[in-house]
Amino acid sequence: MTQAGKFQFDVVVVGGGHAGCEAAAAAARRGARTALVTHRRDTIGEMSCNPAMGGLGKGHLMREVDALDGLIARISDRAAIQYRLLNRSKGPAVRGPRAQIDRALYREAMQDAIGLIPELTVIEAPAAGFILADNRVQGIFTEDGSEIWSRCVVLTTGTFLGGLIHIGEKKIPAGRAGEAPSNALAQVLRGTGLRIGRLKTGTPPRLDGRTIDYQNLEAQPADSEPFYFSTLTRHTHARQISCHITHTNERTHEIIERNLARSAMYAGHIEGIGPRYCPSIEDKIVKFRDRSSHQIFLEPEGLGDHTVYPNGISTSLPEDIQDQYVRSIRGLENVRIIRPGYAIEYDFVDPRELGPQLDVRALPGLYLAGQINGTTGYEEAAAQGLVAGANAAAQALDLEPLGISRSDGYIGVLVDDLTTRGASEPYRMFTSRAEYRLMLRADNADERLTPKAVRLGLCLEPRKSEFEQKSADLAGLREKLQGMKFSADQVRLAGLPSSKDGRARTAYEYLSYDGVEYAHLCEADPKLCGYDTTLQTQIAAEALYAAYTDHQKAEIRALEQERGFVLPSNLDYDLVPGLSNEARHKLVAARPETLADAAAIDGITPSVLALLLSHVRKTMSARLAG
Amino acid sequence: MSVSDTIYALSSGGGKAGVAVVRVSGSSAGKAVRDLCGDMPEPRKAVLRRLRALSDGQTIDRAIVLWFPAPYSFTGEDVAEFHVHGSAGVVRWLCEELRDYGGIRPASAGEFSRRAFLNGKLDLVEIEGLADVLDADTRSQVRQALFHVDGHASEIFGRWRGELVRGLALVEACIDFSDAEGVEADARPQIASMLQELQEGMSRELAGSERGRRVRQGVRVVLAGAPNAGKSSLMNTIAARDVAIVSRHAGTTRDIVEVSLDLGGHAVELADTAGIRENSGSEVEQLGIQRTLERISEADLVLVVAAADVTWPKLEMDSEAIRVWNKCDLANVTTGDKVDISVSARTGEGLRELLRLIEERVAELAADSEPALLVRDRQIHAVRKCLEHLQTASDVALPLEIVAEELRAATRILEKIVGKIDVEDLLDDIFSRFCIGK
Repeated sequence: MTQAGKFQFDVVVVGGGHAGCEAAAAAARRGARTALVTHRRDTIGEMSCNPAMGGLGKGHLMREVDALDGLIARISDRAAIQYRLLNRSKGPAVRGPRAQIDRALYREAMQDAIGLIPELTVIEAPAAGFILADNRVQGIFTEDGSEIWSRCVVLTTGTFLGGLIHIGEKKIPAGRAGEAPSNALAQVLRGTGLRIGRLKTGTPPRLDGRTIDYQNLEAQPADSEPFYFSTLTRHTHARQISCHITHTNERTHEIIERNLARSAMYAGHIEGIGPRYCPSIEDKIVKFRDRSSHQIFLEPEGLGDHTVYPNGISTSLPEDIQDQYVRSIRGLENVRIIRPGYAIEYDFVDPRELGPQLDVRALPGLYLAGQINGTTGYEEAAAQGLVAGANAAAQALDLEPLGISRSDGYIGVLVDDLTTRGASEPYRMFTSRAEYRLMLRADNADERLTPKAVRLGLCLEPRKSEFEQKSADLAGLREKLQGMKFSADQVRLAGLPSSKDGRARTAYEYLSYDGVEYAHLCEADPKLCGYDTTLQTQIAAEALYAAYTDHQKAEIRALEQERGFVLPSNLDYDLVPGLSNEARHKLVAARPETLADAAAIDGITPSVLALLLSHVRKTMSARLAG
Repeated sequence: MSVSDTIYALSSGGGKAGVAVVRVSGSSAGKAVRDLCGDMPEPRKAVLRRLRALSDGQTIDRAIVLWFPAPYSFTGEDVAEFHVHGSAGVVRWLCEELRDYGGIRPASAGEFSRRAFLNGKLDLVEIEGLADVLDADTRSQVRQALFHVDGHASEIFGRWRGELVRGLALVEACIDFSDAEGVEADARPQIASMLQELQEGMSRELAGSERGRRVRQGVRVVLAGAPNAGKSSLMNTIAARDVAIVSRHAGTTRDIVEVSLDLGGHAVELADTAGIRENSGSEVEQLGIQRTLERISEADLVLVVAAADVTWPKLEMDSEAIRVWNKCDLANVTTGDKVDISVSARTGEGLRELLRLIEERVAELAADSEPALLVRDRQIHAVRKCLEHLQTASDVALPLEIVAEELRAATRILEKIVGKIDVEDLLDDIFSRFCIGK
């Protein structure tokens, strides 16, 4: 068999969740013949947990996936039933787009999108193991023993690896409610010697919305001006609805407290570590005893679905107790539980086993993305899926890899955090994880990442042309504002702050003042109203932080320069003081050309880099002086 | 901890002495001890051993041997100390034995301390303090340096950082969990008093830094006055008498001569300057006078010297200056409104009183109940920057995410002070100041 003939596919993606869809689509966009292998075709794009997308940090990730021409943002816009921009009262860098999503609409739109990708084949089969040949992963086995050969494999198995659901004392092996776990694959992974851990997450009981009494509950309407996830979206697709808010009360807490021993979590049945920022209702009551009430958002799961997701009361209590405590809550007195809440434990691979392309270092050809890497959340999964898929395709087809740094985007922060620090609890994105937060805004994700996607062939039409047009318009507006000076009359008329030193400020400088908005500029010069509101918003955000981001950009350049620092080819590592033997051997073997290459070597720590840098600088200056 | 190669050095001063200490650090230190001593001494117990050459078993010396297995050692690695007789022959022989040993090499300058830093045994402030202990000439310098070596200074920087991190966490919670219950919409009121107290604390330490600088570099005392007022002979007399002269060197200009003194446990830099007169002719002399005036403006204490047989010079001076009539043996003068003390450099009259007066003033200038926290330009500059960030962050009109940015910047600065990040450039500077083996 010829090399080309051996492989049915360039990339095989295992799993049809948010990481899997994004990985398969990204690989296919780069031209890889791609297969998406999943248990069930009809659950592709399923939202297993809450019916919402985006939020703080997460919304940023979605905008970035969109900028790289991914799916999650535009599919969410097809299915969004309540848009809300979080932190509207705070600055643009920390505003997070979020929406309630109709689960059925989402699933359908995702399945349609996947079906339309020419290079992508969906195979319905449970994966059971990898084909290992020549020390590389070269495809997978399915449970019936058939082989699918491919140059690279991306695993996105979510909570399915060794998945175990807990409801009170009951334990049910499952990947999610009603679906079998991937135990064979879990066994295989455990046999590879990779570091494997156990994490836990939970969901609340699902309620029948027809049995909820909304009359006395506070309603939370959608934003009147929606902020879309995708820059390609031009209008709202689905009807917008309101969510409702209710609260637990002392009676609820009493019921839970009395039955704590029957909670899987508190009875000690669960070894996995759960997320601190998304505690179960049991945790909330035990850890925050001073609070007599906790907020619950009642989130409809869809327009044509009467299921309601009560956000804030995930639990692993037995079903009868769930029934009791839920009914103690205002508006839910006569509620019917459609499906009980549960905690789920699953295997994850320590992401420090991965390189920056989400490749498993010890198993060339294998990539991991999503919850298998210790993360939580659809958005985190999608972002990793895109990185893994694009890079698997790069390796299979010998293309330039996709690298996103911490200063490029939240995706870079996510990948770097995971692969260098690991995950001690399910990892979730926050804006505070990004040290360049003021630069990495939702509004400029395309400016930051789309040019890269275009260069790598990851961005297709119509986005490519639309972006190029928009980017040119933005540059034009920027140039105009930076050159525009207002007369004293204009300044007074528009209510702009007058300059104390008498120097005329440019329109761009005025925008950088806190409290000055684009609308003020329009009052000074009505012609400025002619620009698209997206451009107005973006230029205002950019100007507001300019003083800080200019400084950060200089910092980043210095850092990059240092990373580009060339190590002499005749560098004698024996003469570098303080190097460990281990580091010395690795450096001698790899002979890195630059400091960045040295940093990429496994086990080369920042302090080793500091030693190298100072040694080379010292010997160079000694030579210059001598 | 990583495996590293092993280094050795003579850690005590060179030359003939009762005892010399050779220190070995690294993974082969243990093997060297066993081979040289014939057995493994109990950790951290001084034992007497006969050190035998590896090649032919000849005795090198009888030595006190100390064995510090990792991580409980100065460097955090396995460390051995050989206390041998302080003879050049013994030391050279022992060092040759070590050098011929596979994997052991002579340490480069400051390498023991560098390893202690890299292994987290000392932070940057502690290392700098260590350098100051080694450089210390006076008791107050030792006291101040030990405050840094013992980690008291690092503790303060750490406490500041801890408070900032806690404040930052409150701000970040408002941003990242604004939709969660129990999180305030705006953290600014919660952190206002913390920011206020930190700024006060930093300002206090900055104010005290001048004192720290005086202790570390010496109180700057300048002798100034008209030509022929007898400043030079006064300086020579002071230097030749009851005080310990630390060094005598020409000043940076040919007009200024300095001596370092230990006065009552405090370091003093005493400088003799060019005479000042109003209608001087030559350009060269004008230049000298210019330098003298600069020197006076930088001085902590000025001694204005005038000859008792001439009139008092027209010299602008602050009220802190000590006014000295010299040559009191030539004219009959009394101290009074214009004069604090009268002396004779020639006969030595009044000199003891003058020294006591200087000593008192130096003690006021340099001593404090607490050693200074900020003693280096690097630290002073960093805390000043940090304070600026905190002042900006206290501006209530600022968006919350920019407050967070300012707090982050301030936190990073404090981390830099103790050397948690961005240290490579500093390291070279610091370690180049150490001599081998310290």
